[in-house]
Amino acid sequence: MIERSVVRTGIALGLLWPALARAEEPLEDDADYGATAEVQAPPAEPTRREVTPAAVRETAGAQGDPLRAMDVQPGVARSPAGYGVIQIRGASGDDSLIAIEGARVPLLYHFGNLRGVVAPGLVQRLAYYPGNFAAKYGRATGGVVDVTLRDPSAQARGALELSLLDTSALVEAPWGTGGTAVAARRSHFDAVFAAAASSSFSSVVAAPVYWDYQTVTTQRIGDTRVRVLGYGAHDSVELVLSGAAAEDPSLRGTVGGAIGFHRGAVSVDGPLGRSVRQSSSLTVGTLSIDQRIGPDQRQDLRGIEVQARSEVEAALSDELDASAGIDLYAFSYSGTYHGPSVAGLEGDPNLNNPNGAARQVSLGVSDSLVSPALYTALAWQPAASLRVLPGLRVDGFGQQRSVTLDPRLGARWSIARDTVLKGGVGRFTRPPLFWQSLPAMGNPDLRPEWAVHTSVGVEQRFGTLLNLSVEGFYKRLEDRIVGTPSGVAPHFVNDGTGRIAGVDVAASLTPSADTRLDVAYTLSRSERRERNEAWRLFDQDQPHVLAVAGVQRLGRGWTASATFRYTSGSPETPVRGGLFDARTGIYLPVYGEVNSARAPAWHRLDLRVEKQWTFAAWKLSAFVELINAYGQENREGARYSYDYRRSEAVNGLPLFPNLGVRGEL
Amino acid sequence: MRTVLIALGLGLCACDEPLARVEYVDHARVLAARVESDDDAALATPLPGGGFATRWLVAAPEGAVPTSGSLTACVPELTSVGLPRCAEPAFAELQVTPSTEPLAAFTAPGDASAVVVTADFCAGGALEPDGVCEPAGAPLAATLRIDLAADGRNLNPSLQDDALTLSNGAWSSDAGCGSGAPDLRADGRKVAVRWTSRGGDREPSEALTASVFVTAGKVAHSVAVIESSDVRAEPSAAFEWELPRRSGAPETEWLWLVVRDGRGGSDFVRRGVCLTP
Repeated sequence: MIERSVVRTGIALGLLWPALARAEEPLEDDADYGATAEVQAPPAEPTRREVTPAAVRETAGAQGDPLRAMDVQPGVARSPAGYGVIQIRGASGDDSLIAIEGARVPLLYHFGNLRGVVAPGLVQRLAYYPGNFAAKYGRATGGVVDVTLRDPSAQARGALELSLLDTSALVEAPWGTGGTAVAARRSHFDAVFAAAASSSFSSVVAAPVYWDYQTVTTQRIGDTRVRVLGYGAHDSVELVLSGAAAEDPSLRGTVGGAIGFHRGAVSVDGPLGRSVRQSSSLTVGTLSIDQRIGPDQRQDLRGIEVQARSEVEAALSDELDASAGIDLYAFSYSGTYHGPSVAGLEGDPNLNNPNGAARQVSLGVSDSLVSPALYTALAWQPAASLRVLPGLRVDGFGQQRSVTLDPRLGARWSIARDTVLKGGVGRFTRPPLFWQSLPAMGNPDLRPEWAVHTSVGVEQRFGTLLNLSVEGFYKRLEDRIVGTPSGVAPHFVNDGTGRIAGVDVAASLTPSADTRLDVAYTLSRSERRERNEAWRLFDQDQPHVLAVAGVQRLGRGWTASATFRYTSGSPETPVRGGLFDARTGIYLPVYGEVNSARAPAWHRLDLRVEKQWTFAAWKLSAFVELINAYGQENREGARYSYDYRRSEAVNGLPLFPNLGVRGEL
Repeated sequence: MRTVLIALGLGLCACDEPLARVEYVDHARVLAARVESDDDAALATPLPGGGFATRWLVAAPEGAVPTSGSLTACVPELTSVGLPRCAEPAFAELQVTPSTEPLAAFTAPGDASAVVVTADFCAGGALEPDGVCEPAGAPLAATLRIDLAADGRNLNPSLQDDALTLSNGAWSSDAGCGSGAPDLRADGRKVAVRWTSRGGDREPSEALTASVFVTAGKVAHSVAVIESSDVRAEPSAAFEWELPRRSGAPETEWLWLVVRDGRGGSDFVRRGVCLTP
């Protein structure tokens, strides 16, 4: 719910290497886990990228996890270490929809970026829509990431994987007209973390632990598929500081937190007639967040989320498909908050100030919000080579007492056998974060933010050798919620705008069945403006984002892979000095022009070697990964002396070897 | 969760060693300020329209130096983050003549709920019209927000003469070598400084934060907090002062204790020791 950013101190929990996923379509589908055969529907939007477990399994740093591939998709900026937010095409993390089976989830990664929250073996695909997404998706102005879980295998199977990070298991068995799959994972680096982190500064009480689980049960009744899903994830950590921090005495005592969610879902999909299909789902779950810093700062939030979707698709003619649906989100919550006023948002360097120097607030909340939406979309094919995709979405935002109308239009035009032109324009809306509209903390009169996406691009195949995609985009952000100067009441207002322009390039080169090279590059500029002030850079503006991943199968079960990643450093606000606050005894940083400096570029190489042994009934794999193979000291932030006279860089993950074995029945 | 990760980061990145030790007074610094209402010097919350004084603690390696300065006072905006901002032009501007304990008196506006005093001090020098200290350079900048209260008053903590002990012995001397300061061997030993909160220090449900500053040696944990939940009649906190190793003539070193109640109330004392080789 309420968090303060921490660039000032930085975080040593670095990123582990993400996978580089395939742009557009995976070249191989020989997944080790038997995904249900499925015919992909024609695209309902100009650009959809997909990542499958098979596409990332051998990629260095991927850990076989499709979710990790998001970090290196074209258009995705590198997340600050440990944050794990997904920033798509110059948008902030809050602007995008992160979903499992279409239902929003609060986190996609454990502890920032360590692992995805879904067992890789149960992921059918991760769909990534960088912009101009279809009308079925809403409450987002950035992009959409939607994870689809696969159906259980028709055979009894199992897998067990042990690595330095965690242990995971997957069991599945057929029964009835379908089957059930169960997966679970738990970290175990808490076994070594306590020793590594305990110091004269702190002692670890409960080392970082994450766990997650998923169950999928599928039954088929005629042509209708009924699925019952359960999934959840939990991250927690707790440590005790051995004394009050002299720079900020509010940082003392027990520091800890936990975030978790649990979901149950029922979905039904199947034909309603010869040319009509329906899909419906109901997802109900809980969300809990706890955080405490010493005796004075704590927050807890408990909530129940209900998400329902129902969609009907009909082929009205050979040229025209239509769909319409409802999309409901409801959230009932209660919680308390004691801590610094959360008045600043993106672009406000004061978010990094010591907690103890901020105005303290206490509040308790118990409320609910309901956001229903209706949408309809057409797929009109006036010619065999042209597909026009208009859509319309109507959102109601109960908390804001407002209704918004989002028209969208996309098109794909195959101008040659291997060449597709694509483009789109549309309006996208998202509501304020619920706490921004709380009277005690924010502004109940906030309106939803909205954005206009425009994009145009081309996809080109060169036989089976190369897939190439180039897409330019421009986004305009309106009614952006910004903090008032110094956080004076009403704290937040719709007084910001933004503009983002860039181009994505994605290429997949497959010179042979055993060799693959993927390249993703984004050139972009993301700017924001508050009130009538001058344009400034977005906090995470990264003009250049490059990822190159190569995989080479060496034969006899050996595979070698390497992934290199380069991104521009994010903007930084220089600290000019400190002002002593005699009331608290804490120095306040005096900032220069917002985001007028930039951190050094970030780059890293991961290497991986895997050996697989195939036996009659099972397979065994062992792998070694070198994360940050050449030990690049990437700056993730800075820490300052108590009076801000001195500073030094805080670097991210050093060279880190990861070992693991995996057995599969 | 991000803030929790800060602590994790601190724990992991070997940030035990600060870039500069807060407790070490190696240059002139403002350490604290105390507000005293004209009605009652124990009151840290003056009345709207009432008079009050601000008493500033400026410490230096030599203990104290004559300090001059320029102060302004204004009614602040009710900000939540960042530096204090004036809601309207300053209602008072004044100069402080050189003093080892600068003191500035103001009269609060009658319709305000808070006042912010901003100060630029020159330790051992004078503030020039261009805002630079002569000869020290940049002034010592400080700010102090003061709540005005027609009701809900707050009392300053009040440190008694016996608030501090040194190695379990009484320590009330604010003097140096040859003037009553206790003699200590400068051989790297660690001595215990204990602060005991007496009855008048703390109001009900108040947490007191005590900060220690020294001109020599190290204090591993220089800040201690007596939590509001601490029900002891006279709670105390100990600081471990690691003395430096020295040779040569005895020298006076200083220790300051600043206590804040988190609501704008504060008090501070200075103690001296004589370090002998």
